[in-house]
Amino acid sequence: MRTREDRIFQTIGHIVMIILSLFALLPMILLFMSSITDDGALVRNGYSFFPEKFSLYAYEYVFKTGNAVPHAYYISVVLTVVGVTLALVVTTLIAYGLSRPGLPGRGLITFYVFFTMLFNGGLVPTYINYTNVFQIKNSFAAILIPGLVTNGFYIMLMKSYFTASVPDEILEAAKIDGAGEWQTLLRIALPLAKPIVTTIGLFAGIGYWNDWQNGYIYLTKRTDLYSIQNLLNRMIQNIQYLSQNTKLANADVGLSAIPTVSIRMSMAVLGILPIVIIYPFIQKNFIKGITLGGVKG
Amino acid sequence: MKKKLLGLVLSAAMAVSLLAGCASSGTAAATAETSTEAETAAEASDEEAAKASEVELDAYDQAIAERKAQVEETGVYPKVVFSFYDWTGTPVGTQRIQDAMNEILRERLGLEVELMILDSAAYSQDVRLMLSSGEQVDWINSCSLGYSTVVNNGYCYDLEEDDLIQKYGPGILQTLDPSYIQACRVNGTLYGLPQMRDMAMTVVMCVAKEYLDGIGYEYEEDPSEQVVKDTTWEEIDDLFAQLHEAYPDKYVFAAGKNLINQGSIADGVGGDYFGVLTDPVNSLTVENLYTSDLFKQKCQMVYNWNQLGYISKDALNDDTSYASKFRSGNYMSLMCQGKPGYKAQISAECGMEMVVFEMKDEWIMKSNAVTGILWNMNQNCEDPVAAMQLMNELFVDPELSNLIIWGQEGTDYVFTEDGHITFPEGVSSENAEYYHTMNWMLPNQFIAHIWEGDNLDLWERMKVFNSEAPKSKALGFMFDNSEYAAEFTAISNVYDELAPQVLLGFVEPEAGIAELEEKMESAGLLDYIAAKQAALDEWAKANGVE
Amino acid sequence: MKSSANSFSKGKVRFRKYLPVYLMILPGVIYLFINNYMPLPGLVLAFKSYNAKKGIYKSAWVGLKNFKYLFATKDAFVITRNTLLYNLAFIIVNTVLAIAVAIILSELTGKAKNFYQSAILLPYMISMVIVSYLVFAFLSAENGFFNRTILRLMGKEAIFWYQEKKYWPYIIIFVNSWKVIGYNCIIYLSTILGIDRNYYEAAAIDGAGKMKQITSITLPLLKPTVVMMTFLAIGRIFYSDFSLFYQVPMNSGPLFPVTNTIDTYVYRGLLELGDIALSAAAGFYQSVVGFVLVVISNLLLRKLDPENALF
Repeated sequence: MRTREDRIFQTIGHIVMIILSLFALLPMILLFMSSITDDGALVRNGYSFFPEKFSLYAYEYVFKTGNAVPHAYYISVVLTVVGVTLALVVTTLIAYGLSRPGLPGRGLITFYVFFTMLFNGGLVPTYINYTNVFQIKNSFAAILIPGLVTNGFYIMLMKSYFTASVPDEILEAAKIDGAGEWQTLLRIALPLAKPIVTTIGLFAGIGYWNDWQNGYIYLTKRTDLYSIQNLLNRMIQNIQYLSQNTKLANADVGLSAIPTVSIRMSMAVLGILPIVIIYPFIQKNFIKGITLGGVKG
Repeated sequence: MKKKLLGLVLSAAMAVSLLAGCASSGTAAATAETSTEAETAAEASDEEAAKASEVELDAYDQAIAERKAQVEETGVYPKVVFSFYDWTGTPVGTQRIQDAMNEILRERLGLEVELMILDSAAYSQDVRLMLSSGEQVDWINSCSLGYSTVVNNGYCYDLEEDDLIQKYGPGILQTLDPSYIQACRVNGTLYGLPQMRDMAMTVVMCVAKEYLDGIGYEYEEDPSEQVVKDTTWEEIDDLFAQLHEAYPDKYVFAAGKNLINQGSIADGVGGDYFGVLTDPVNSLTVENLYTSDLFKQKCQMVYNWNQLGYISKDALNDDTSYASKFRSGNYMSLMCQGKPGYKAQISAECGMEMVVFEMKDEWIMKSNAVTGILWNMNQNCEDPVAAMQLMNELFVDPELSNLIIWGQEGTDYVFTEDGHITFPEGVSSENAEYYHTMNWMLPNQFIAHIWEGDNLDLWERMKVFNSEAPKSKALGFMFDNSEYAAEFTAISNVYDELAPQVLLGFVEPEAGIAELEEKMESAGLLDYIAAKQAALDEWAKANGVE
Repeated sequence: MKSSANSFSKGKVRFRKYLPVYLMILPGVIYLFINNYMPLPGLVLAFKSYNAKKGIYKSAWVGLKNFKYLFATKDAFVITRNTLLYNLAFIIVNTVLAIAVAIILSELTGKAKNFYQSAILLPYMISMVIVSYLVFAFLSAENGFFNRTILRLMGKEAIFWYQEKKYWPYIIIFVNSWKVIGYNCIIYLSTILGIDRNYYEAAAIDGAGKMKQITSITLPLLKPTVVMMTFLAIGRIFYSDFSLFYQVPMNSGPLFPVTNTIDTYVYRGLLELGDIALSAAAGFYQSVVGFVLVVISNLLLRKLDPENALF
């Protein structure tokens, strides 16, 4: 029962998306090709889709010297799974609560949340807080807790979804049927909010997977807690620091073996590769979650 | 039974402390041999010093005995956290080296060290946070933060408070040249200690031998110093022209932004090049670098090279390391600051034999040479005596110095037949557990082994290189620019905006410099220079420099 | 007397009724307290001359001195202008694009749309440093694709991209959109998919075409999300993504007039000065401006469109 307009829309839509996908993918392919190009060829010819000389040395180097790459993947996976779970629990609860009309102090608490998006105490006070008061330095909590569990953005997003797409009447009806707040949340609101829950889950997941700053600041001894992004960023930044501080680069025979150009690319590939592999599965559930919620509503 | 054991332990401890006393005076004597730098200065007051050091050693041993008695009671050794960085992050073998050092330190000093080796790129941030939060970190190196930053922020402990260094660091005072220590005093207060390394510099041009041979270039390499002495810039011009003609597809010169700081004797007095001494050996007049002849000359030279096609068009934005550039086979020469043994270093770095041309009359010890890489004690340090004693041992004890610099014999290095050290069988820089090559930062590499590739008399040469170098009159001057933060930020931004293209020869020097100068002046350069001059004059007066 | 006791017990009842809700809110409130409010007193650093010996709170007060370096120079105008204008451009371009992409994705049929969605999210996953090298691959003077392939094919002169500031506003906006569209569109997509399908069916029965459905159902229902996202962006309008403006143009001097923002300006000075009080001052300034703007916009919105006002 498709109309002409529908067909035109579909055609144009596919064309637009194909172009956008190419924009996104071509640089990724370039990234991958550069990572398997010989370092010397990169310096001579620049990055190229068709390298003059292939080499897997950059990967070899990363795996050989780091020796910690598989372990770092493991940490990243654990961190992301634990982190997403924690983030979803905390965020959903507060967002749902703030969406309840008639809650005394609701405006105030909303402002309390919103305020955190505008002001922050700065790196040094935050660091002092976490290391001196909570003493989480060099522990798993140090990469799990600071800054990542939830934030005003997640909460506001979810809250506005609850307000807009989970009709209050349905919740009230459930209450009249004798359901408590918790039951209402779990049985009624949550299934309706699947799209936003999956979205926030995805955001938190990306947040945890990509985070390297926490490890950079809070891990000074526990190299066994390095996540993959933390490990890779350390390497990239060390190389950058080194090439920018040539006057300090004294007596560095060992360093000259680092394929400084291709290694950056190989590390970027290592950072996103697992996501490229896993993402289709996540997405399947993501879309399912979103559409299920939508249809029901 | 228990009592007996305690008695045993006690007597053992006493014996140990006695031994330690011997060891510390013994090692101090041993260093007197190796440290010739201190000799000249110390000679005059030799007797006095000897007398003084006797008293000091008493305090030294007493502190150790007290500490050990404390350990007897608590069963816990006090810990000194010693933090530095390396290029690739915490070495895998750090714990092992720390254990080996503690084996010695527990007996010698009654304390333990914790080695905190951080990533180079993260170091300044990590250290700043730790210093602000009050965590235990006793010794840090201000190489990446900057000495003036750590002093101005109040991060440093006064190393002469209650004669701390005099009493607990006699070996340090004997090892380091007194003029270096003087150079580290800020308004009379000692906040940092340098290490034994190259303090002077020469300007050198390094050219890959392969291409020199390719054009049949004749040069005379000094056999013992391994450099081509007294090269003139005209000769370089000529050489470059020949190289370019023979290899038109390659870049003659791997240009960097180091034209002034490494490529001239202009002294960026006070830590930046906004206001310099263009004749640092003779004059204390702070000049505007950008109006100076020296700057025009150098920029004109590079501009010519750029016009002639010697330099990559991407040089402005290219942050590829020298190592990668030369390994790619696309570059033929580079400019750097030289020192004894540089040929071996740069050749290894570039993966090919390089010939080092030492430029004529460009040998200098700049004013901030000493204070560039300093060891600072945290103002928050709980036990400064212990920290100082640890530093003292690192300066005088070859065993400790070797451990922290090269690791353990057999595992991390082995001796070659001629007395160098090198990797054991099966170990390379890629899989080594402890090979950080930060020897130049650690307190005393002069008493450590010499890695294969360097001459065994490297340190002797280095001492001569340092002591005979023409010295900047402003050696040790520091400029607190915190009152000029606004100007400094504005000038830095102008510098970053306009200077690189001038320094790399991408704009015609006449016009480029004029624009740079004008914008810098309107950003407050002249006020900044005037403030620096005033501070320098005051410093000169206080320190009796003419 | 009676009535007050009554209202008291009413309040009690109400409180008891909402007790579970407060319990739900509690973990989030505690986390934000720990993560965001406890370090907040550190803002005083902006008004202090920091000295580690005294600590943050006991260091001497210096009034507004730390702010001077932000305003005292001629650059103040340029960096403020750049920061503001880029953020405005980002708000408009990214919102329009993200909504357009989200709508297309929501309406498309077929399996390919999963692929599209994955593809456009990828750029978000790589760090700006890497992005800067990819941009360099296209724009390098000697080896870049543009100079070596495209311009040569068109028979044009090579362009020194990193020295020509006129192209960079577009490049910056493009790179930023390229990186964040995939991420931003997820937000709109989830809202669209949450819309009751019945609306569309009813509209279709009324004879409304696709475009009509989009303009009369989808867009109005997206409004609250758009408003919120815009508010958040306004709150951060004085901030700039440091690495986008520093790394991507490769810190190239000639481009400063169009790439220097408050964050890059502060960074260049602080790299050498290393004074944490100065960076605290910059952060404080950025926050306060954002805060004021958000409050003003909210007031306006309350007058014009009270339903969508944020608080």
